[in-house]
Order: sequence, then structure tokens, then C-alpha cells
Amino acid sequence: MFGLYGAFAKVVFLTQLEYRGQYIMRMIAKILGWSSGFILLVILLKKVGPVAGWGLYEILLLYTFDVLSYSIAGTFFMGGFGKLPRLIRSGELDGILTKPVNPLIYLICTKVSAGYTSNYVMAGVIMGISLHKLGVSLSFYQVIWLILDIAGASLIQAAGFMVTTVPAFWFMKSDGLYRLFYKNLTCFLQYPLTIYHGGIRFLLTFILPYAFINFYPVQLFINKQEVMLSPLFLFLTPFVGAFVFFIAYRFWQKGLDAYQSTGS
Amino acid sequence: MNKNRLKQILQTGNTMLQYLFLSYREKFVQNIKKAVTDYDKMVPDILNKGRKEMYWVLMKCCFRQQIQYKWNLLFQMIGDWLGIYIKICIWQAILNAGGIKNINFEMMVSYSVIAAMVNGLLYSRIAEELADRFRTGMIAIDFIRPISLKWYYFFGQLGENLYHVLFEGFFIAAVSFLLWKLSVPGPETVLIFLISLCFGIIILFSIQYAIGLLVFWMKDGTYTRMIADALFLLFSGIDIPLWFYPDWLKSFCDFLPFSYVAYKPIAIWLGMMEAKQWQKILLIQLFWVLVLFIVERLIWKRIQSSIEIQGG
Repeated sequence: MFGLYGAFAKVVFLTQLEYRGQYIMRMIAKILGWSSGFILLVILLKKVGPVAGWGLYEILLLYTFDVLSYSIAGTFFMGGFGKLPRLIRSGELDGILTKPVNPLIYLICTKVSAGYTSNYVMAGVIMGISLHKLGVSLSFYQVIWLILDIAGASLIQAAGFMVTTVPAFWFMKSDGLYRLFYKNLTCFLQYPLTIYHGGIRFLLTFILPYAFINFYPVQLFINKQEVMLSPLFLFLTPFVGAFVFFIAYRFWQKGLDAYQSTGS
Repeated sequence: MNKNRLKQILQTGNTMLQYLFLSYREKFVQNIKKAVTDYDKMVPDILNKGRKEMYWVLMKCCFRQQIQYKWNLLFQMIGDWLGIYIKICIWQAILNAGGIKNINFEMMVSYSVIAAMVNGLLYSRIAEELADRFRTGMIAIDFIRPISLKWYYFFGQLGENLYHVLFEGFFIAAVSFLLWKLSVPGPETVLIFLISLCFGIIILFSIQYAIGLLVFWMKDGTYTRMIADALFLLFSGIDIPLWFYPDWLKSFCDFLPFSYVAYKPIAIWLGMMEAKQWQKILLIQLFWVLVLFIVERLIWKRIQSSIEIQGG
């Protein structure tokens, strides 16, 4: 069964690599698009020095956590959920529902995107440089924990995609929701949350736990303790990730149920 | 040509535009075919006056179309607020750190708010739409149409943007100006700002249009657009004012058109430019408008000739 899903994903991935010229074009565009954010950050912080006690490389580390987890989540979820309203309208979703496989996994595997590979490389390199410049050397367990953190952060991002796009089952048009509750709110993550009002930190910690994508997990590696309640928060990312993803999955199932019951 | 005839033509034009904009993409193709056949009968009679009115109608249509999405507007307003709030928090934190001299908080807030307004006016999908038309072959219809494709996109986009700026931009700006007690410059400065802003919009839309035309050879428009967006973000100063840039990069930006779209007009608003400087800015903007006009004509000529060769 698992091999079947793997085969789906592989075919989709390879088809995208087939058009060489276009793929390269896409890579250049993506690298430029994402690196412009990095470049602006470097320009600004070189000029003004540390922001709220966070130096250039610490903020870069925040940024790489965000970009990397976004890209991992985007690879698997952007294709399917970004186009959910269209899939519903065109009836493609009905086709998926008739298949004898889990619709979510099918959706993920057949809509895998090859467009984020450049982001992995870029974010990985910048993460390496930042860790090196900060004089952090990771032990074996820390590497494992880093990977778990990235996985958890990706799950939070994926849950963000899902929860903001699944309302399309009820409203048809929901890109306003997606933009506000996902795109705009994750903009806060570029800088340490300490520079914002306490209310924002509360919102992003307890209500929409985007702060666990980078703000809390990163602090563990750079010996900072800017938390709200307990230092335990620095360790929570993988668990928060699993938890919110589970909620998002239930929400998706609710959406599917509502969708099926309206069909005659 | 009598008045009734003109009226009739305008009405057809109007219905055509309504077809164009009020229908969804799936319906789009059928509708445009019908509209074009209707319209073709009128082509020889179209006068310049009629054409000008049509641009106006087009702008109004796009404006009205936006009103239908009220919820989106609310969400967008909150989102834009958050954007400005984030910016202001960042500037606050940076100024608190004390590494920056001779720039004060009020200036930074004004810059962020005005930049958000300017950005709202600059939003454009021209490159993508054009790419779509090339891919689907609809561009063939544009060749026989008596309305300039370029201005058609310009005014459509402008109508949409004006709507956003009028309904949410001004509101956000007014509240921010009251909240942070920002000062408004004198009427002359505002006037010069508006003139240079208009030039800026024409420059950016021309760039977008030229990039959209490149799709004729590139096949896919989204990525060319992403590249243009990244260059704009990096060199225009829309995100971070150019005075934070290192000197070499700042002088590099002066050679590109992008800073004349965002940074320079905003600097005029902030009163950082003396008479000599803003005169120079306006002249350079005019220069860029002309250059881009010529570039875009050249590209269009090449496209036209290669299409005619391909067509039997």
C-alpha cells in the first residue's frame, strides 16, 4: 500500500523535472524570490545591529526555520490545498473520493511539488552558516532534535494550510481566510516575537501556535530563554506539530463529510 | 456620425466589457467570442472619443467588480494593518537599540504607511494575464481589437487598485496619521508627490507589460513575474528605505528604474528632496517612461512579425 503512494509521488515529481528549461527557470525565480528576503534582512541588520538583543545570525536562523518548514509543508500540501476550491468546482475531488485509498494521502501524493528543492538547499546552507558563525556545534542528539523540530514545524505549517483552505468546502471562496490567518500571521515570524506586543505573542503561542515554528525551537540552540510561561516551551515543537496536525486532519474529515452530504 | 450611432457603439462596448469582467474564466472564452463578433461589426465606426470613454467604462467596471467581495476586503484590511503594525514594531525595536542616528520614529512610520499605500496602487497582474492570453491563443483576438491592449490592462488594473486604496488605504492611512500624529506635508509637496507617483505607476506597469510580452518566447509567465517582483522588492525601497542600504548599493539602485517607482516618490512626500532634486527625479522618471515605451514597442513589433509569419 505504501509503495503505491510512493509510486504516485515519484511519477508526479519526475514529470515536473522533465521540462528542463522550465524547471531551471522556476528554480532561478524561486531562489531570487526567497533570497531577496534574506538579502534585505542582511542589509538591514548589518546597518542597524542587533534587534531586541538578537543578532544577525540568530535572526537568520529564525528565518531559515520558517523557510525550511514552509517549503517542506509546501512540497506536500501546497499543490493539493492551494487548489482545493478549484478541485471542488471542477469535480476532480469527486474522482479522488471514488478511489479506494485515503483521499488525503492520495491528494498529497498526486500533487507533490518539485518547486521547493532550491529552498531546501538555500535554507540549509544559510542555517549551516548561521550555526557556524554563532559557534554552535551540534551533538548527535541535538541533530536528531533539530530534525524533529523541523518536522514538527512543517506539520504546524501544513496544519495552517489545511485549516485555512478547508473552509472552501462550505464557502467555495476562502482565499481571504488563507491570506489573513496563514500568510499575514506568519509574517510575524521573521523577527523575534519579543519586539511585538504581548498580546501578539499570546495569540501566536496559545491560539494559533505559529510561534512554535521558529521562535521557541530556535532558542534552544542559541541559549536564549524568552518564553511566556515555562522553559519547557523550547522543547514542545514536535508535540505541538503532531497535535495541530491531528486537529487539522479531523477538520479536513469534517469538511469532506459536509461535502459528501450535500452531494445528491 | 450621429449621436445615436455613437451611443449604440458605446453600449456594445459596455456590454462587452461587462462580459469580460463579470464572468468567470470558464465562461470567459464563450463570452468573448460572442462579444468580439458583436463588436467587430462596429469596428470601422469607432471614433477616438468613443475609445476614451471606453477606458473610463473599463476602469469603472473593474472598480465595481471589486465591491462584490466585501469579506475579502475586511480580511485584507486586517491583513494590511498587521503588515504595517509589524513594520512599525521592527522600526521601534531598531530605533530602541540606538544604532541609528538622524532618523526618527515618526519618519519611519510615515515611510511605512505611505509605502503601504503606494504598494497598493502598484499591485498588478498584467504580466500573468498577458501570459495567459498567449498560452490560450486569445492574443490573436487582441490583434484585431481597436483598443490598445496595453492601455486596456493599465486602466483595468488601475480601477481595481484605486478601489482598494480608496476604501481601505485611505482609511488605514487616516487612522495611522491620527494614531501616531504624523504630519502631512504642504500642498505643493503633495502635488509633486502625486505627479511622481503617477510616473512611478506608469513605469512599473510598463515593466510588467514588457515582461508579460516576453512570455511569447518563454511559455510560462509566473516565473518571469516572480523574478521581476524580486528585483522590485530588492531595489525599489518599498520594504526597507534605501537610506539603510550601503552606499554602493544605493548608487546602484539609482541606475535602475525601480527606486523611481517607490523610494523616490516617498522621499518627496517626506520632504527629503529639495527643488533641484525633485526636478531631477521627475526628469529621470520621464526618461524611464520613454525608454520602456520604446522597448515595449520593439518587443511588440517582433511578436507581431513572427505571428504573421507563422500564420498562413
